[in-house]
Amino acid sequence: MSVVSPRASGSTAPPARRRSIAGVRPVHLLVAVATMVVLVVALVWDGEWRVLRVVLTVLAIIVAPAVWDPQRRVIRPATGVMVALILLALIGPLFTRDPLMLNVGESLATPGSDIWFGTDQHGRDIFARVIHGARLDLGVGFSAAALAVIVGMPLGALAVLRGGLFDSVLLRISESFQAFPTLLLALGIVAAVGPSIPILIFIIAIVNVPVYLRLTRSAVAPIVNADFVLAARCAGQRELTILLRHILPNVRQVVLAQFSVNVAWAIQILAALSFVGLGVPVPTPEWGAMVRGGYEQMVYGRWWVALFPGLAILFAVLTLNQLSDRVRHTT
Amino acid sequence: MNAQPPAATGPVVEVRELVKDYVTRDARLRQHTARAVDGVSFEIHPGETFAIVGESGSGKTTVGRVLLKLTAATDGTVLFGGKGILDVPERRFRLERRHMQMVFQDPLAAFDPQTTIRSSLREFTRLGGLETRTEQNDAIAEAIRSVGLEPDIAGRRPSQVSGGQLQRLSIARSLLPEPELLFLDEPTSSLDVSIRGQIVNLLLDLQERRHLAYLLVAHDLRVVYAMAHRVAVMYLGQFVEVGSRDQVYADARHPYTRGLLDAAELDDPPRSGEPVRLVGEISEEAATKAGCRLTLRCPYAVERCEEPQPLRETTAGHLVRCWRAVEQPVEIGLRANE
Repeated sequence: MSVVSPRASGSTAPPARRRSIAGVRPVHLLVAVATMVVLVVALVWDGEWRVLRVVLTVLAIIVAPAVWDPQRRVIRPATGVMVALILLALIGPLFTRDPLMLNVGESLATPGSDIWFGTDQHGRDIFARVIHGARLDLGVGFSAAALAVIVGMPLGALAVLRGGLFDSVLLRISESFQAFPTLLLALGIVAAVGPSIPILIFIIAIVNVPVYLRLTRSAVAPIVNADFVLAARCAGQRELTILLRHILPNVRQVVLAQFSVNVAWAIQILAALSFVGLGVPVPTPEWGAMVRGGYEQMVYGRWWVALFPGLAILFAVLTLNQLSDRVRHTT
Repeated sequence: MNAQPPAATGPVVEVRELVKDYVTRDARLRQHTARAVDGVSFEIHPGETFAIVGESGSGKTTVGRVLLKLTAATDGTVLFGGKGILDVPERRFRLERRHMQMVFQDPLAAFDPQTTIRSSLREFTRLGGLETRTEQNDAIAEAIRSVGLEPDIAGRRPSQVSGGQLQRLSIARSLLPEPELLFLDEPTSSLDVSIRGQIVNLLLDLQERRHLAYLLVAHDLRVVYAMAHRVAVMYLGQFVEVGSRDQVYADARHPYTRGLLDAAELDDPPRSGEPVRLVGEISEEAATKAGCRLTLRCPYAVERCEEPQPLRETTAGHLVRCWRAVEQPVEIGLRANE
């Protein structure tokens, strides 16, 4: 995720105008105050987890520039939240209780100050499971989307460069993939091969390759004959160099926007597969599986079992979509 | 400014009977062939500017692109420094590109928007044989100074530089590998009128200092008049008139040339002959004709014009593809040939 605006280094960028204190807008104050609060809490709080102080400080330092765009003087909520989410998925599980620990005596405890999100029917801490689930869901989402980009993007560019039969064959293959409803295709493959995390990543990636192939193809097509590509040929550049240095960087924007949506979509597929019981194996904390395990409890008024993992899915997907929008609108 | 072409040591480039077809397929996969260039021959000497003028769609840019092997030719030969280049495979030709460079019509399109100007220029220094970073940076700074700009502009992106400056940078870039031939593809037409003169003067200055050969493609007849030593007028893939600048401008023979010059309303130089008014527009259907391709637009067209028309010499070095201009000059409003 690009955090620093690519224009930041441009030398003609207008010098930042100095604003009087009266000119500070509420959003600026909001961000400043929020950052301060996090910092102060991190330094002053003397709670149980001392490590958390360090973590919060680091978090504040890392997240602040991601959230705050100093050049355009706006907050970037999507980028900030995304960075926070990734950090949470990476280091959060270190500080939670064991997500797998059964505690039948404390099953279906209501959310409270000690057990933030409550417990499920087996007495497992839902907060711990949601945080651990973030690591799994985001991990699978990112790796599946990354795999799809790595395969689909060069293929799409190659389809334009080679053209002719190569292009047609590739397009027909990707069309036949896309002709299936994706979830059905994923279901079929999982049913045949059996669920495991690498296989899930692989399947979600496969289903997404045609998306990147077509996207890159349509983005590259108008660039291939652009004057700056001709100029690179005049400079005696090799075909591969031109592709890597001039063509692909110019379609990066579009692909990155798609990538972000794609991660969200991969999370949804994983959750959906888990929900019908074809996702991750049973005790593993995964958001979709948790919703599946908790939705029957809704009827009995135990809303928290399914609500929190459901909110986590919603939150992650919305953030990623938002991020995609941002990427698309920055040039 | 416009001295006679310097004494030749042999042409830089020699083009013989160049043909370029564009093949397209329609929805039913039937092939359609459009002949963009149809048997064009010319040569350019060191220090000389050879200009091709004509309307859009006449195939003039295609000539330059085929010459630089940016598009494959269909037929004909191109001798560069006496050696044929059209059959050389791209892999071996890659480094030979240093001898011939190109300046694009729209400088903003000619620079990769994602990279800085410096890194765009650096690619061309490598072609010129400079390997170390300091050598390259020195060459880049020197090249930027030679087009009248300050070297620190190189840190910017193309979108942060004005059109005129960017065209100067484009020229600087094309000169980095020290080419002998520069293909100028409408170098001024995307620029503000106020800047065109500066670019023309810069190009003239560089030509004089480096003894460059220019292939100039333009439809601005003033720019051509200011820069060219020899001029070819192109219509639907063929040269219809070739001659020295003064032969073509002051003593235009072909009705098409006369029509173009009259439409441009140039005050200078004065022309002989009656004004010619062309009717209609360039139409690609005429591009397959054996006879004169201008008949539908020409006020002097007669039946014999439908016969094949070769380029014929009227005076020394002045070629015209019009039998009436050679045999019946007075009838079509020209002075008789001496």
